[in-house]
Amino acid sequence: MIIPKEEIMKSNHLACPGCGAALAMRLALKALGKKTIVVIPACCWTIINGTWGNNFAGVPVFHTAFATTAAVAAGIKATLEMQGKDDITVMGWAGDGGTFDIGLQALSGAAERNDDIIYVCYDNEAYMNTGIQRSSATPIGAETTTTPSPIVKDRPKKDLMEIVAAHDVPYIASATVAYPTDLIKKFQKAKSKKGFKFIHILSPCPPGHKFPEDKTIEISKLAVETGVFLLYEIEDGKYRINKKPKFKDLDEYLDIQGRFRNTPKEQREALKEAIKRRWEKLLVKAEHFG
Amino acid sequence: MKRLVLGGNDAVAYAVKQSHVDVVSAYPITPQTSIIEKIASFIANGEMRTRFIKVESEHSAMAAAIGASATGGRVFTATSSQGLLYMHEVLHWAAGASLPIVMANANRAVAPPWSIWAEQTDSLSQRDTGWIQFYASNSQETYDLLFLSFRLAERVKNPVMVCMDGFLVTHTKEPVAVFGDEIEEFISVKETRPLLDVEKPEAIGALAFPQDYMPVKIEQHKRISSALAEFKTLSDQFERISSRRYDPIYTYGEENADIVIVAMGSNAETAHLAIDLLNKEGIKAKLVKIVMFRPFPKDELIKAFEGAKKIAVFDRNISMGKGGITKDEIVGALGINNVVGIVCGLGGVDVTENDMVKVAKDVLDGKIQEDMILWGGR
Amino acid sequence: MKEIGLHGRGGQGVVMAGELLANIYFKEGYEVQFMPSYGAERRGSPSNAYVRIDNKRILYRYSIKAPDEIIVLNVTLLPNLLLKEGGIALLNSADTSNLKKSDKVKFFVVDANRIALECKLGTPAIPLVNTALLGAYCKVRGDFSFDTLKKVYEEKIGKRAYLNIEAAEKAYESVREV
Repeated sequence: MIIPKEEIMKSNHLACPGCGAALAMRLALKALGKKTIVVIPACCWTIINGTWGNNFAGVPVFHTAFATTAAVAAGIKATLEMQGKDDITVMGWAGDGGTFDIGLQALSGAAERNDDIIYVCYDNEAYMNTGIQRSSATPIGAETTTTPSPIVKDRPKKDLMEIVAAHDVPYIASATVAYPTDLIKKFQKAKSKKGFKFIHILSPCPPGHKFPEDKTIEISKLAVETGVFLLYEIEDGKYRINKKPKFKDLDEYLDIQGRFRNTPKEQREALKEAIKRRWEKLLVKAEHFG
Repeated sequence: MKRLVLGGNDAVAYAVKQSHVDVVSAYPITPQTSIIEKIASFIANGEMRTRFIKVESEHSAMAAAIGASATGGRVFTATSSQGLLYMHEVLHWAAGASLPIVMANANRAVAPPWSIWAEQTDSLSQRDTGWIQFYASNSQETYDLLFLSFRLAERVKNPVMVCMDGFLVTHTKEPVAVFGDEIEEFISVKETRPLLDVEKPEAIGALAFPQDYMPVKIEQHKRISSALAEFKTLSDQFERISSRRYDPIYTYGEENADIVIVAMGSNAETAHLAIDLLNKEGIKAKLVKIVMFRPFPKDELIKAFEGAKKIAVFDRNISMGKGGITKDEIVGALGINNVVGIVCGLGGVDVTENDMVKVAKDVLDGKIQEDMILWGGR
Repeated sequence: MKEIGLHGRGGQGVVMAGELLANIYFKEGYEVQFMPSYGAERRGSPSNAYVRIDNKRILYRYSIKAPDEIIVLNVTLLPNLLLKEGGIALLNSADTSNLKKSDKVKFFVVDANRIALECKLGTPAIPLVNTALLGAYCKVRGDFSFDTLKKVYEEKIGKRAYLNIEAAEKAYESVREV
């Protein structure tokens, strides 16, 4: 596929260098086009999009309260439907805190109602905008300012894809920035389908995950190759695995990120075990519900 | 115009049906629920062309209303008590983003202990959220104020809350003059505008540093403050159609009264009877009903209190550690010292005309000088 | 002003009866106010509704403690009910043996359970007696016409209005003073 040339998102935005979330939005908007309205709760993108008077996304943006992304997006879509403006896509764009945690109730409500929106979680696996506090998307063993060593996070990451899947919505996909064509295709598919769509984007964060800013793509790729992050879709209830992991050594992924510097050995093992179990479960689902 | 026997909730639903509302988003809570049930049935019968988003919480009800309004829709929601409190954060958001959402609130006491009965502490503790607030005393007022609210909200770009005491107004049914087509010329005027427009991509509500934030808030304060004057203009238009007049305050009784009873909501209905009893006894008394609580009708109140010896403010609400909220607002705005606050009727306790007469006399005679809580025991 | 209390148990149609009665008086040209009393709602618990009727706008916004007249859908509630002296109590009852004649209150009875079931209203466990009792009340008070009752039933009840009118007629005929 050819990646659309047109840049909707503008340069000079306020993301940190090497930000996976900035790149994710750039690719997403290439897929969705100008007729898109974006809802952004409290998250890194509150800053990235620019301060008062600025709008680096290049499409209309509604900044909203932390827990409200899905509900605000549903409201926008409702009025557009009443106005007969069926060609406009409404996208909620929230971080993991706004999705896995505080926004989960509104997300569940919109998913259950099958509101015609695309909900995107750009997941940098902690509250990065407030300075790296653990969220329920933070992986086991990771250090954050609220899980400082030696009390690193001791609970596994919430499986949000499967929580959303339990709502029986038309389209769910995972994506990450190292696979731009895969990501764009998924947004295009989401745009073409009616009802509630959910896209989970793993979004590496240099300051939060503590790695050099030129390693974002490498880490995004390693996450997929080690099996930490699985690329798959659930379309109308049918599972499809987009990329089979190579199951590279997990230590390679962990060792280039400072947040895992103090991860105890048993938690590294727990992480490995979790990867294995998740993959096995997904395989079963893909086999029986593919 | 025909008259129907309606409760406050029915009246609200009828007004919403006639107001060309694009989107309703709401969540059930007693004693508001029959509003949204009725709206749902109007939609099901094809009497209303409206998108009803059945949200999973009040927080989302207001959030969806915000999205729908920011896209240029005419939007309605309704709630009560705990639901209103749960909305608190997003109430600020709606007002700050200048969104003309209209909401009906059934005034209900706040838990614990659980209560479903009338009290205004719920909406009065949303005083500072930037919403215009009306308090209706009866079904007719809830009906009429709904139409005025849609127009006012859109005119001044500010959300409006219409409050009515739980059960005492929401469920108490009485004759209401209901419009036919004659309301069309008034209510079909829509001044909604889409803030979110793909042809003109802007970011709404972006981070503002101190120098940017403060001017925005000054503008917001001016906007809501302009509602006093705009309300009068719209009220003139409404009066021409309905022959019913609405002003920020309403007065009844002796023009040059010695004792003024101030009440808001259902208490103001009963207070008419108290005024009649007092006047019959030769005591010059007047009722001042606050219809519009935000923006606060300071000038109107100054005029209404002219020459009064004493003012007794009956508050079916309480600010813990302080007292009645409207009493405090009056004293704060007018800087007068002949006011006594009476907290009464919390959690739906009856307040009768005889209670009011007795207290009013004692206030006038100087027997009651301090703020008090009216409570006769079980 | 006249105040009427309607007292029954959840499921008997107390609130509906109050609303119908308010609408009947309204149609007769009165100002009316219907005030249901709400609590923890469930089937079988006591349910009360009140109607105020006057020739001028009704401004009372508080509950009614002792009405001028009461319509009692379920007589087990009777010991807990208040009524003004000189008032009227219309009871849904087939049996008057337990009623003590009083010079302070006038009692009327009608076997609304039987009538409701004859007219296929409700179930033997919970007969819907509300509309029958209003027919009896029309006879007892005589301050609104049976014809107005019929019209209001037709407007508010819809398809099954005729059964309710039939019940009201039977109650009208058979109500008697104790």
